[in-house]
Amino acid sequence: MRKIIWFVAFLPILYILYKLSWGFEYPRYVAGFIYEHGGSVLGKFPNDPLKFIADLLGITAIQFLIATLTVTPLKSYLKINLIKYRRLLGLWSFTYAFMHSLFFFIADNEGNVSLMIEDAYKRPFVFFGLSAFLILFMMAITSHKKLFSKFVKWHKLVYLAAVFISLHYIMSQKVVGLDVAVYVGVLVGLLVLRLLKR
Amino acid sequence: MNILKAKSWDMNENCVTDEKVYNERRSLMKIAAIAGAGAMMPLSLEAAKTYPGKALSFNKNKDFLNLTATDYDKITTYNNFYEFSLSKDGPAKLAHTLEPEPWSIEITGEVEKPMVVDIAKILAEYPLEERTYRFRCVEGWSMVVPWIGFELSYLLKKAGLTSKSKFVQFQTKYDPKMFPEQDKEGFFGNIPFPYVEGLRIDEAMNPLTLMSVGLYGKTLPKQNGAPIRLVVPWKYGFKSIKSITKIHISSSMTRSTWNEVNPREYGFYSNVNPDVSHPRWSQAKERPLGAFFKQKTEMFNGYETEVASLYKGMDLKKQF
Repeated sequence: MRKIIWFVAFLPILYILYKLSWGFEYPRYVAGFIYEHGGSVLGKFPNDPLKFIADLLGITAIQFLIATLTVTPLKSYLKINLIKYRRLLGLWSFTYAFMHSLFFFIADNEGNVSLMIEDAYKRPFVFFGLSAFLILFMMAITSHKKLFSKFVKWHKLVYLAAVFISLHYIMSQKVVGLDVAVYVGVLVGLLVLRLLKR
Repeated sequence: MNILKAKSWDMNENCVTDEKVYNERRSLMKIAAIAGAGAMMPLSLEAAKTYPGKALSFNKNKDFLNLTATDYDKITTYNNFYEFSLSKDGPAKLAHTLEPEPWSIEITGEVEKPMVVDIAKILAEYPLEERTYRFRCVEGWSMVVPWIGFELSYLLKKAGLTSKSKFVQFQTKYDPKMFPEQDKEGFFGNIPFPYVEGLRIDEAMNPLTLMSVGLYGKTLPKQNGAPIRLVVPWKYGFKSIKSITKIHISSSMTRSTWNEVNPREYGFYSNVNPDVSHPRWSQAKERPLGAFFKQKTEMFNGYETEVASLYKGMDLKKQF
């Protein structure tokens, strides 16, 4: 199970590297082969590479967050116990959120902290994203066995992070499409399940 | 006097490889490459493609050819065309339902001669020219497109403007059989249809404002707004409305779809302006398609000398 999670977690990174590799010229027979068998969708440099990378990192963080939050309801409603993998799933969510934030920090704010703070202050969707990331960051550094017992009650803030991420995701769109609605719907559903359980 | 003499290295037109031969050779090379016969040499598959569509006859406008155009592939696979999909790659896959022929544009309202113009007539008789323009999307990406088209003023002059002609409204064809998303309005947030856009008459009459019928020398691909669309290079891309069937000239300010959807975020003018942020993101920089680094966005998208005078005395932060 652990191996599967690690494998799945590396797929988006590998996909990004693969897509970006099309920025280089491939040897002719490799390119021809992939064009014939993989189609131009697979074998193509992204049209808008910065957006492609940022979106994929962000979406993957959301997917891992959903997986993390699903562990508890799976146990209480369906008696499926995956609790020992929850930390790993949560850490992957944090890792992708970290890469997503770092990517924006470099590509958008030119690695300038004051620009990032200004951005977060001026733009609510950056504020929500950054706040959610800080919550995940706090959870990641206190997820170690010793600290976890002390900080466990603070880990409930993950639900606040889920709300912030939903807002962040919706506000980053021009129009809320079906995909966004589904992700946010699932996050809200998990939050409701949690509230019902109390 | 400037006398042009043929240089020894000049070639005449006869020396140019015929397009068909060129492409046949290309596809042969591709087959050879797939068979593994090709050595380890770089291959640009882009060159193997012919651009689809009907060839157009046009003049090249020398004033607008100094930019390097974005790849054809990028221009035609990264589109906002909500009548087909909210995604960028959706329109290229889904726009096959659009029937660009027969097609006509109806011109109504405050004009001397309301009229209906057929697209075949436009392609055959109008003064088509090629102009390579910058195109900047409000979302923060940009490209450079070699459009084929004619000045909108040519069409408006034909219809005859009056003292009451103050604004021009454009409308995308409304036909859910051709544009499937027009039927699904409202559910999971598509925008209201039919899509409408507007210009002030002096903006519409500006020589930069084009009605485009093609790109890269051929008729417009469906996903790019076949058979005819507006191109206003100093405004955000959504102003350049696609697949137009109606042009209505009026004496008062016209509607504009995005302005109605969210007036706080999308103004009627929507001029490209690096100093006026979108409420949710900065407009100071842009991502040229295919590029890894952002570049600075220019005032009026680089057309300041041509259009700044249109907005003299206006507060562009308020009238954005």
